[in-house]
Amino acid sequence: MAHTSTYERVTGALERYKSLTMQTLMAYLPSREPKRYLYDLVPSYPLRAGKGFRPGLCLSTCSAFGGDPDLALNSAVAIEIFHNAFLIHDDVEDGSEYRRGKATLHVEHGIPIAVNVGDAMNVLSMRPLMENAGVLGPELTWLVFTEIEHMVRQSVEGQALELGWVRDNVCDLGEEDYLRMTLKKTCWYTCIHPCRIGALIATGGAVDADRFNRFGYYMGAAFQIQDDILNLTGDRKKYGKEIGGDIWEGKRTLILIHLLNRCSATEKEGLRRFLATPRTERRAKDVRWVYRLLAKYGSIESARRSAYQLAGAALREYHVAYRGLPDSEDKRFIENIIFYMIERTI
Amino acid sequence: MATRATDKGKGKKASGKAARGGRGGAAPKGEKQEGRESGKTLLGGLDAVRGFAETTSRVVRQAASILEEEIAAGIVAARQVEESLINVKALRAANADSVIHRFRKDAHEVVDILVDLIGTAAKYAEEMRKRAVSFRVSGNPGRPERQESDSAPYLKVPGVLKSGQSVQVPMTLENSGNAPTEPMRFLSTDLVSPSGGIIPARQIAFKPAALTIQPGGRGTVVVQLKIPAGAKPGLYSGLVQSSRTDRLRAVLAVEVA
Repeated sequence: MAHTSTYERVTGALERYKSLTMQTLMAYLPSREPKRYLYDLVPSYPLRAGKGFRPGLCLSTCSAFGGDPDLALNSAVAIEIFHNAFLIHDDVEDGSEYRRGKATLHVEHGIPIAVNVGDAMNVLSMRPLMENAGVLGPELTWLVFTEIEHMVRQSVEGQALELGWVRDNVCDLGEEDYLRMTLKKTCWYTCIHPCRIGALIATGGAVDADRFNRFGYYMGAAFQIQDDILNLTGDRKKYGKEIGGDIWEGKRTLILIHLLNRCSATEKEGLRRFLATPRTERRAKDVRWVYRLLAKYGSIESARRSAYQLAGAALREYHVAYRGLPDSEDKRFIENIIFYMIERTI
Repeated sequence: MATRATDKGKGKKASGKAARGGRGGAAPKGEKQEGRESGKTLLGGLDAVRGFAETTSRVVRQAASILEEEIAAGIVAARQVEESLINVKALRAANADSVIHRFRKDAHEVVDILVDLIGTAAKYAEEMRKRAVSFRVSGNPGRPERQESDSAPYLKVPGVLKSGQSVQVPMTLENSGNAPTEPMRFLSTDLVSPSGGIIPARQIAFKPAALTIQPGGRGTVVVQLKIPAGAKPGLYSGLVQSSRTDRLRAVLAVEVA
């Protein structure tokens, strides 16, 4: 029962942070032409049922460090807009059909329009960062900007690795490759930088932001692995994306890498051929065969174990990153979100 | 006591909590069990995570190592680049243009929008410097607090606002004394324009509501101003005052279109 209440407390807090972020985010969106082909489409992803981890971590960390979360709102909004821009482009790059329970933007409006909406959101995310100058002053604004620059650069580098592995049908990857890719693609922008930025704003730049690196990395990696598991085993209505999409797309998840390293030489050759086939030519029966192999070698369970191990490490690092702070609702939320990351079904 | 399900147990029911919880910790074939993790079962939720917090598994060790490498290659490098491009402290110097010039020279490939941000930051640095209210708090009770200058700083809201529009203006205070301030609250008079227009004081709020500044430290109070609907055009001004230091005041001005 304690678990249920923890889960509900986290989802309730995430909703509050998301609501706060969305109010500010919507105020930044232009209401002018061209509406039909651009500005009417910009709120499409942000208004869908996303979880709001990133602004939640940023605002709660700011508050846990004694800061006024209102002062971190612009930065949280910028991160959220960047995130949604990434999602639009990711969906195009992956050929995904569903996002947060609805058709992806490019399926609905075509690839050129969707790519341009993603570009627009990248640009729109600059405005709240510029507005920081009037609220945080120039030094802290610059500090936040350098954090954001690092965050975005790492994300695109991580995405490049993943896309490159798929394009070149790289099959000799190890756990280490996956962990590095995930650090770059997911962890910096989902966990590490939101925490760093929240604490920097709370302390006027005085905190040593590196204290969040391990905590954010372990939690982010657990989050991504859980996402990979949900992609294969989740409920499409809850998860909001097509189940098994990662297999159809040939994503080099920890699960697939585990399988490639454990299966027989014949099976690996079969997998290599499957992964070399263009997505549109892959057959459902082949995907079902991959599922059977995953079950045979316990690849999903192995990934789940890794997610738990990383979440445990995140919990240990949480006590380092947030040490010495008075007890608060926000501090407890951050501790509980570790559990939520790997227990979530959405 | 929970028991551990293994690959060898395929088709064999795992016993204990692992089986009930549906999260049997099936060990991948050939995976080496390590230290205290050995014998641990994924119970699900809080217990499993707390249990793993006490262990250091291979995946966590690998992750730690990768992070160290990436930080060494990434953040440090980024900081070095940043430091070679621009001295942030210089933004507070009087000649902000030279900073921007150097930035443009050193990093010509950087997109203009970044330069715009630097420009904005530099502009605000200058404005913030002008807005800084320096004062001294004596350590002796009963002695009056002394402001560095007799003239009240001038806080001009950037740009021209329309009626109904809201704006936030940060005001930085520096305590150059040797004692912390008492918690200061802020209030404002009505803002008036030469043509008789009035922006009532209730349209002006301060955040945080109370501010304490340590000796030698700085603090920022954000002045939140909402122009009333139907406000007449003109330059409005009024006095912002601190509750604790009666000589700590600033003129707040805003232009309404």
